[in-house]
Amino acid sequence: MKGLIFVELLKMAEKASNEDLVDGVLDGLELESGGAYSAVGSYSCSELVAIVGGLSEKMNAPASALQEQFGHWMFDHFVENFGQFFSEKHSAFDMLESIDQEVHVEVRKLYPDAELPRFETKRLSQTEMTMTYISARPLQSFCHGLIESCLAHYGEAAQITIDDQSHNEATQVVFNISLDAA
Amino acid sequence: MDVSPDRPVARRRYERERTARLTAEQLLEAKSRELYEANVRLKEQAAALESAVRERTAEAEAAAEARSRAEAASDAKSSFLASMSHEIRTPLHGVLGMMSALDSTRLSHEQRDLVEAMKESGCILRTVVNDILDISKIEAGQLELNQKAFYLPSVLKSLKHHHGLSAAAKGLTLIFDAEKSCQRWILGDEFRLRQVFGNVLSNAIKFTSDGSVFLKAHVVDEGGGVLRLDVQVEDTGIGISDYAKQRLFTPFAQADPKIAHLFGGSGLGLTISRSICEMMDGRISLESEPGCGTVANFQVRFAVAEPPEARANCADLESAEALLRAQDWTILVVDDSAVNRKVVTHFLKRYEVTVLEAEDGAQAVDLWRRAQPDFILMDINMPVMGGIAAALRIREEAAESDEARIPIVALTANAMSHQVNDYLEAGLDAHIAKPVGRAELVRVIGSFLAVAR
Repeated sequence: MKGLIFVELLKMAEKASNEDLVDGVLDGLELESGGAYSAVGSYSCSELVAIVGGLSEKMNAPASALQEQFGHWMFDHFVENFGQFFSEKHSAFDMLESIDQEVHVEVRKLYPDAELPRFETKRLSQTEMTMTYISARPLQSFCHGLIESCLAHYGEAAQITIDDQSHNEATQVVFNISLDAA
Repeated sequence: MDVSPDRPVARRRYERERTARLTAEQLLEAKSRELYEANVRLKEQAAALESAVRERTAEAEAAAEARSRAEAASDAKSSFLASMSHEIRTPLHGVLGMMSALDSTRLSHEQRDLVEAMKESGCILRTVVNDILDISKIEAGQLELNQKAFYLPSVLKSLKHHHGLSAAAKGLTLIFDAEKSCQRWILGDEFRLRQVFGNVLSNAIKFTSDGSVFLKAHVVDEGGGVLRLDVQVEDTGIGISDYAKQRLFTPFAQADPKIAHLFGGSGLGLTISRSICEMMDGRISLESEPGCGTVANFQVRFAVAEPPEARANCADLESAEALLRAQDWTILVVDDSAVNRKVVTHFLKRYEVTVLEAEDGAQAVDLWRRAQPDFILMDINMPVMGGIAAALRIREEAAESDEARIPIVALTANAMSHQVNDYLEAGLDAHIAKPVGRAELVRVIGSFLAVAR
């Protein structure tokens, strides 16, 4: 997983708590990287999961909630640093649909071995779509947070229902997004 | 100094480190992107190059294919023309030859008249066929000129003789005024030159019912080894109408359909003549007023040629003998005296060459046609047909086919200077005075054969 994710997670954690708490989490974990993350590096996903776990414990917050919060955080980071993707799309549905085909394609140009999740989107109607998150990593709540922030960014209120179809080691979660009547 | 991992570090120090690292990360990202974009450009360039190479290769292949198709088409045309030419000429030759043979048998008056009529038609047919084949060649760009040495006065003399007959038959006077400048050896296509002369002269005679046809010729040395022959043929004939003048050089457009009907001809003569003149770096034109006769002018260019007689005495006896022995040459000896023939045959016996004998010019021509000798020794004064006439005939016939010039040497009892000119005009290459010794004879034969090789 790209170092950028680790760096931002730690930033968010530091802002929500303090340096010492974060240091404490990192010191307490057995991390191959030693907790030293560069935004341009690549690190094991298990380390991220471990850090989320450690933070959850120290901050007394459920891991899924932390992931969601992180999802919001990362979305804001994306908007700030990769604004051109967002300005080209004019609705949340358009944006969500483009992640797999456009955003991730751009990512792979510079980082060909980036491990990225797969998204399958299907529009059911003008106001309803499903987005299936397929990954080896159990980060569906992070994904949920991203989706929520995306809807908010385009000013669209919606109901999100989750259908967890994961099996074995593979995560497969279907998000059903239904826009509220205008 | 305490440098254990737990020693605290000043925030400022920490911030400096952090800033340095973040800067490094940004640089790295920037460099990565630059590298990526440079790669993309390179890939595009490579693709464009590949595409250009493919295009060029395809173009080159297409061009090569087009060229080989064009060459094949041209080859097909040449071989078609060649075989068509052969297929048409062979039976025609057969018919004319048989008519000639028939003519020389004993025939009744009535039969002879019929044969004469056949011969006339046959000759016209041969002319038309030859003209059509020539035009086909010209249009296919396949007419080529030979470059061989010939003596211009010899050509003029035989033309005068040949056309003089048809002029006389119509009661016309044919006058040739060739300047001294014409007495030259020329390098060029004798056959095609005769064709132009023949076309112009036969037109003049054809379209003149009384009066004369007057030919003037002179040669100008233009320098650089180039000779220009200027010829003018003036007649007192019917002239050419304005309508006809426009269509003179157009193939198949006879001057006037009525005329075509009256006078016959293939209608191709002038077109062919113009092509030949142009190929000889010259031109042809006609001026005329109806009822006031016609003046035809043509100019052609040739290279200077070395007269063969200059080589007559070059060989020494030893090399001449060796040359004679080297091959089974065929030597034709023409003399009405059997004794003289025997002498020459005896001289040549030791060299194991084939010696053919003819007792007059007619036999000589006949043997020449059949046996194709490498050398002819020609006596001048003979019954039936003399040496001069025989030589003229041989040169004229040889000019029609693409044969090498066979050396004809006169064996003469007289060798006065004006007579020497006559021999050259007739197409003889040299003369030896009688009586001739073995050594001199062998040397002369050797010199000519050496060149022929």
